[in-house]
Amino acid sequence: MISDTSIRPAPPHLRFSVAPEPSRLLRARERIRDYLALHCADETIVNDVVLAVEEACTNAIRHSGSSDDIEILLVLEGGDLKAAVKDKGRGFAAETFDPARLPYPLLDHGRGLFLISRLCDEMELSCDGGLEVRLVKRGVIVPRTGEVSPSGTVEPSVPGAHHGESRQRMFLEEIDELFAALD
Amino acid sequence: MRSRLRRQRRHLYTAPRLKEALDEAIQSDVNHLVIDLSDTSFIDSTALGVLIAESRRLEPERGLLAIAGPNEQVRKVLQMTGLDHVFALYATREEALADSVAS
Repeated sequence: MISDTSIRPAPPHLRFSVAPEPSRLLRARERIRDYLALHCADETIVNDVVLAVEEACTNAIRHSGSSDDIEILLVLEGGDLKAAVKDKGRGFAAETFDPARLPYPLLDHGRGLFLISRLCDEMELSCDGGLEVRLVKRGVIVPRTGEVSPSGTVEPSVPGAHHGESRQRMFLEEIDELFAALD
Repeated sequence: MRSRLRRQRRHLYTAPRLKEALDEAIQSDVNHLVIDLSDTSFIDSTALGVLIAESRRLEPERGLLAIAGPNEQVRKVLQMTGLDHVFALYATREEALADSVAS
């Protein structure tokens, strides 16, 4: 029997999938906003992350060519927000994206990746059975006034984060796999 | 020269609806369009695309699309994409209208 002390608690995370339909994006946006609001009282930071993830989803809907659900994962780790948006579509030639180049303002498309790269501290694109956009936003833990724990950080409980040993382990493995390449 | 005013819904994710509203607003003789975003809390690149596409339907030389009342998030997105130089930004619709009447 494995004791609880040998398993580190799963970091607060949000994982869900969304059908590649524009009508579903609003609900996805609100779920992400609610999750972030538990940890971050700074609306600017929350808006940045919500927009970045939404842009990645919009790209998946528009360009992946797949009708499979888009997978979304957000993890809070060490004060940073790490997110991944993955589709199962035709992929994307990541080398064609130049984050330093401002998209021509009068084009009515083509801004999604640029916005993500500007809103976040890190962005990574990888293609393997679809496109995965990984992003990192640093310093997102912003406690609400008066809500500081003895350790100096705020860690409110996230619904679904602690569901027993085997599920915790499953989450940890999935998260580790997903973010191994970020380090 | 005629100015039309559109009040936008709170979430600009419904790009087709935004496009419809702008299509309706931009009749053949409209030069200046003021879009009141004071009730809009959040925009994304889809909404930007619609604004740009619609602004191109205005008269090429004299057409102007002004945005009134952008909040911090809207303003930030416009600035990041350089669109704060394409659209005229005003704090209120009154200021936007006053400017467009004067020009």
